[in-house]
Amino acid sequence: MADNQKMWADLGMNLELHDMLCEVLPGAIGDVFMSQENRPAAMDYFDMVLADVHGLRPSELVEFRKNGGKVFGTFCAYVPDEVIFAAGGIATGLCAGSQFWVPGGERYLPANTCPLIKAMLGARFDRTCPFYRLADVYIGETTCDGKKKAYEILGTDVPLHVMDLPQMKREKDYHKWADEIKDLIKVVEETTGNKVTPEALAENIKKINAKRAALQRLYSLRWKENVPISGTDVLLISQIAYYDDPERFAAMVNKLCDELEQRVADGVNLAAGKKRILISGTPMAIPNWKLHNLVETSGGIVVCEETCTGTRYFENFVDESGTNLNEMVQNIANRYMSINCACFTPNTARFDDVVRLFKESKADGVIDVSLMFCQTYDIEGRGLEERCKAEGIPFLGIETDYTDNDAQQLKTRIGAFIEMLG
Amino acid sequence: MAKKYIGIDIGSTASKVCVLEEGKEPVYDVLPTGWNSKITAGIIKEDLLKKYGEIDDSDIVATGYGRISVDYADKVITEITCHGRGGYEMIGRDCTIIDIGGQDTKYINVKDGKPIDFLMNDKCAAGTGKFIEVMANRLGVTIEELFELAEIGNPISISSLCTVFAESEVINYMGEGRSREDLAAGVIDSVALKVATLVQRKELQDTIIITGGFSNNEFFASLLSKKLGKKALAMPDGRYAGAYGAALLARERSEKA
Amino acid sequence: MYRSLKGKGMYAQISPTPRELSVCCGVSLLVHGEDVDRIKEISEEENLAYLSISGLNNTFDNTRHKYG
Repeated sequence: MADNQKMWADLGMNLELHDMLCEVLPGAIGDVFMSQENRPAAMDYFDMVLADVHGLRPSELVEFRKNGGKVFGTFCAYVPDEVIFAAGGIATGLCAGSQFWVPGGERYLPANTCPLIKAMLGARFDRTCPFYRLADVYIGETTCDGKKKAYEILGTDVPLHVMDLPQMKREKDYHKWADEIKDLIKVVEETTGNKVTPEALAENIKKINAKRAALQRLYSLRWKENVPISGTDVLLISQIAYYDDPERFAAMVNKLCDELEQRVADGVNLAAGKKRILISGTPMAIPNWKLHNLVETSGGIVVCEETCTGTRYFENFVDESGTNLNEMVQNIANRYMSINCACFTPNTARFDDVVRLFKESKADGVIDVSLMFCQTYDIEGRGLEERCKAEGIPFLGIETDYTDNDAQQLKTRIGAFIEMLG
Repeated sequence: MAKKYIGIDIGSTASKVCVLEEGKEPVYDVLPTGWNSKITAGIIKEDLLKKYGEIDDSDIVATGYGRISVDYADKVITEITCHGRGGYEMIGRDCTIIDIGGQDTKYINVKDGKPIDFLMNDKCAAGTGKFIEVMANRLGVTIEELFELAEIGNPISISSLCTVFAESEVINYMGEGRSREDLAAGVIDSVALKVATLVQRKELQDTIIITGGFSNNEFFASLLSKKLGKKALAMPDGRYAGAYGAALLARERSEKA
Repeated sequence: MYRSLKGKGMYAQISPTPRELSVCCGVSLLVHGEDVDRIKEISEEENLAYLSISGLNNTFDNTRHKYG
């Protein structure tokens, strides 16, 4: 265990500051996860990854880099992991879900910037996250103005490549995104010194698709009449999906699903007497468990997340029929362009997604959550509310950040919403 | 002795109690919440015991900001559901409820007797009782006096939405020697405007009622009506809507059981 | 150790090491207090290693709503 301290020091981390994070996390994990009853046994793997979140996976990455491997840090569900792994690199999500990193970010950004972006800069410049230290190159994307400008600042401290994501979904935009992926291939090839061959790309398309399939299986199980797993636990899995080894992760999710199938057959039902909630909106990066914890301690159970840490991450497969690099890249582009993020205009396909998922997950109501100062999702919330109303779907809109200070007020709103559903 | 149904609404500023007994009018009581909801809940229990001898076989529902502090309650229900239920029963038909509380302002839309939509102001004191309290303090008057002054003044526009900034705005006007009446009118006007702005995206039914601490104030009701462009009704017992709703829900629960 | 305990149908959850015990964000097993003697026996029998078994006065409170 003492190895962690040494590893963190070797990575140039600010140990004193990082120690403050270590101080609060075990308590939060205990309250949010360990306090839950009747959890699936196969959550043990994810519990372990979480318990040693800054030790276990980082030490693997340290080993990987010792042998010349290159690590790519990503921030968004639009960045295609397939090409990074195809070049023999490792993609790891750089999460930014804690208030702990926000003040550090505020030294570089206006206070009225979304907490995710502030935490991103805080984690880098305060040197309090091993993943931020371990990534050789960061891959950004132009999903919002806040991130775009923040990457300019981040790029002063670390090699950074920004992908220019189209903001509309016309024929030419799909081709443009394919071109951007080709540029990314060049970057990863130069960084790793390895060629992205058609064979390697085909193999990794399958590998990442398998991970998507595992998550789809997990979601289909929680959509059963009797829900075998809490939303809080599924959220953790979705968060870990961003930075774990994709093959091991898929295997562990499938192992969990085997158990969940048994639990469904055995009639285990965590939703008994509770209202089923679909959460839509902005990503919930680790360790942001606030909304799930509030919902699941207020008479609700989360059965679906229409978020970047949810369906947007794993819905739709990359077509595996491509025979050459060009075809494969276009197939990858097509799959990622099918994600419906509020940075696109128009984005009514997202409303269709929410309505469809509401039905598939047999939800009782939708809670749309927007991170504070996230302009695109916040504005889009109104359209989503109108669409839900038209469909007769109960809807609650919430804007919040990573702090605890609105927890009681949110509890009242969420509690009232759940009472309304009953 | 007939069974009693008791609603306890621990608000941020005032705590309200409603006791329902078969064949009798509801009995209301109010006391300041003070600094500790647990102590307040204890005082309420003692009062109830003094008045009724025992409350063990009563059904108690707690609501309001301090609802979890009422450890002797049989059930805890949010103030939104309780206000919706109580307001509906008071007016006797479907309605839109605007509740101005000590720390938040709520919009509740009641149809077929049930809340179907609601809105709460975010973490900010603008348009709440707190704002009025702070301003009354600044002007050296009680809240009742502030309303009386406001009625005869010409409102000065207070443009700040933030209570802290609005206070310094008021201080500036005081420095200019503006009259207390005009300042008071400006304060009340700004609250009505803020409340109207909050609810403008939501459906307003033909019947709109005001609940909460200022609900019996006809002047405020007429001012708010102007800003909404629709008649909002003052309610004499509006501040007890939450406690009344809680008591009604306690009764429904016991009838169901 | 975890597998061994679970295999015997005993309660155990993998959890972060509480700060009171270590400053290193390590991994611990959360077990039931009444099982401690049995766990010591099992460890002896099966040659399982552990650093220490400690009881703390901490409780989990899922309504505390304090996040990292």
